[in-house]
Amino acid sequence: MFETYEIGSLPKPLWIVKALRKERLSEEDLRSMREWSRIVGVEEEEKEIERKIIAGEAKRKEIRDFAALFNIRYLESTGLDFVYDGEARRIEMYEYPVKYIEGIEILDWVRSFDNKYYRKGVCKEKPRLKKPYHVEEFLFVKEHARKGVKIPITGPYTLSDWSFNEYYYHPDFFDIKRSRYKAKEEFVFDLAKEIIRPNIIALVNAGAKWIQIDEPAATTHPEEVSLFVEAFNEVVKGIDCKFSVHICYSDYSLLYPYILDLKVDHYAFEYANSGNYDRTLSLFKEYGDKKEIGLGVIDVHRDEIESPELVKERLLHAYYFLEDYTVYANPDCGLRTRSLEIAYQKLKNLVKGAEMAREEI
Amino acid sequence: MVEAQLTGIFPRSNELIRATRNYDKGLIGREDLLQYIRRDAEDAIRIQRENGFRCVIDGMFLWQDIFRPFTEIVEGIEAGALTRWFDNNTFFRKPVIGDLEPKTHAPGLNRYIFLDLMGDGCKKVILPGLYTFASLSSRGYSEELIYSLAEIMAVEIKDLSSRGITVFQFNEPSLVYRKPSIHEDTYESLKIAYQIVKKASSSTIILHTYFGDVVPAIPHLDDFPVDYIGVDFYATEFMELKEYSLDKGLLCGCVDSRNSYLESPEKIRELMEKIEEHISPKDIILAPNCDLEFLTKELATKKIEVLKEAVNLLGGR
Repeated sequence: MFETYEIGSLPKPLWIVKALRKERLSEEDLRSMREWSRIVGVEEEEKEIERKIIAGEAKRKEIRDFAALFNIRYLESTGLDFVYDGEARRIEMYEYPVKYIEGIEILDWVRSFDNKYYRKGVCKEKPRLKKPYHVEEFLFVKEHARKGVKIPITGPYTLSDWSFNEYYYHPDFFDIKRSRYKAKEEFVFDLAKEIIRPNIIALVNAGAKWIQIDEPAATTHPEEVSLFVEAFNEVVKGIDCKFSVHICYSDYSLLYPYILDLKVDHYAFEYANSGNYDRTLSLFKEYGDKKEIGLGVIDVHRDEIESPELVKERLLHAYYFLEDYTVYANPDCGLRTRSLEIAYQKLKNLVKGAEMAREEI
Repeated sequence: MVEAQLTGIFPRSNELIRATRNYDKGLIGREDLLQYIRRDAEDAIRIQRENGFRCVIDGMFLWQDIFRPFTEIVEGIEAGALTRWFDNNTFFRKPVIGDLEPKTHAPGLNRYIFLDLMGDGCKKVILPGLYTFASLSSRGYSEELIYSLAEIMAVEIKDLSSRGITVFQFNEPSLVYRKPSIHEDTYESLKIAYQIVKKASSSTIILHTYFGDVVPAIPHLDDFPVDYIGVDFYATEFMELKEYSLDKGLLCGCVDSRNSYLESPEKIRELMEKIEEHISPKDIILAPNCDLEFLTKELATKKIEVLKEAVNLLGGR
């Protein structure tokens, strides 16, 4: 009970970003790199990569390998039970996979909120997978991780929803809703069959035991929730692996009743941001939907650090509210928008709070 | 005479995006950032003017979301949790509303609008609709709240009118998103609230609905004290709307701000001709269905060019 994990992304330290851009690292950057490497326990590897960076000999792959190893140890040193590489090799959850899809072209940035942006892609041809894009990073994590491994991968519905759709979409003002739905349906299923399922099969063949499919867009269009469910099931059908689904910043009531048909073992939803735990937890009871629950107990968009006591309180509340469910502890979403310091303290308190909760049951 | 207008926040340029990131990292200061913002505003106005827009907005580059200025200038409203903006991959800070004192509210919205860049022609400002503001806030809809918000908006409109703004558009997606069941009494209260707003100046008032089907609401909206009703023709079936006539102007959301597909001006003309034949609005404004900021700046500019071509086909300005 109350096993802990991170959702996916971690902040990218400036010294990694600069090194990848072949920019000179300042004394402050070097101090930070050394100090953090000491904290997470990669001092030896740091010395080697620092030497190469300063000498201008560091290859991009070596820098990325160090970044991934740093993140694995960063997560492990907070005490989490399941780790990954903080998505160190990915630009972000949309742009990275799209780079490996023929038929989708990447455009410029658009705003997500405030001063946060992401790059949109536009589907201009039927999507085709260039090559499975998470296997190499997974093999690296598998080789180095000392804890359990959970792999995040962006799902087909979200990839489709976050792309412009020119290939399938030909709007007809005199039958607009049908023309839009049909275009979306064709796009989502092509992504599920041709892109995501082959990726999942490749990961499972490489030894993956737990895959988290990220579908933050799942409830974006309430009339399309069944499409998300059908596409998800198409992706995972017949594959022997633990699957979780991560959906954040959503009205979860919109998932029901369709999600009852989802072939998934574990829900990782966001709760801390909205603060309304009971509304979502009640849905599970109301519909008798008994999956493992990943409880978002850390808000990833604010710097205020949740105390272990607050984490404990939130976990125990869910535990007693749901009675005999298996509850995991996790942040609402990836911590990439926080600083290394804030994210680290949040995760340490998450682990501590989970320990405290465990002692009380 | 048909014309075209914009309906919401304009996308930021790559230069401004980089500047906002640098600002967040503490690499540049507020004054430096403002220079980039002003440049984008100038460019957004230029693009509108060059494409024949009679009435322009400033691009709303100082608005982090449609509610944010109000969380900063209104006593009793604060920015709350990050919340999904309808069915989009964009988010807003939920307005957390405590006690409001509209009688003592001092105008402040003018600080968020580049009035000095908008020139001498027709100038438009876009505001959150009263129902949408209330229902997306922490308090949710109540009659008392929309009257308070209307009084606050009236103060702002009066001030902005005195500074040369002649068109105000209220964005009301909540009135139509997912066919909400809105009680008859609520429409009556909203009518009163919009009357408060309307009385504040002699400006043109547009009430724009989008992200949902306007058909169930249209009989009510036709009685509202506004000059134009806006319709998103990517969420409303024309074949259903054509059963109604409209005793007002129609702001016609005929360019899709949420897809890069470039519409055919010919098809827009065809739609407009059907609208004139069946719905007979007093006037037509062609527009994007919602904020162009869902697109890249390059695509947004192309969409504006589509609007210009459609206006030309219709013999407009």
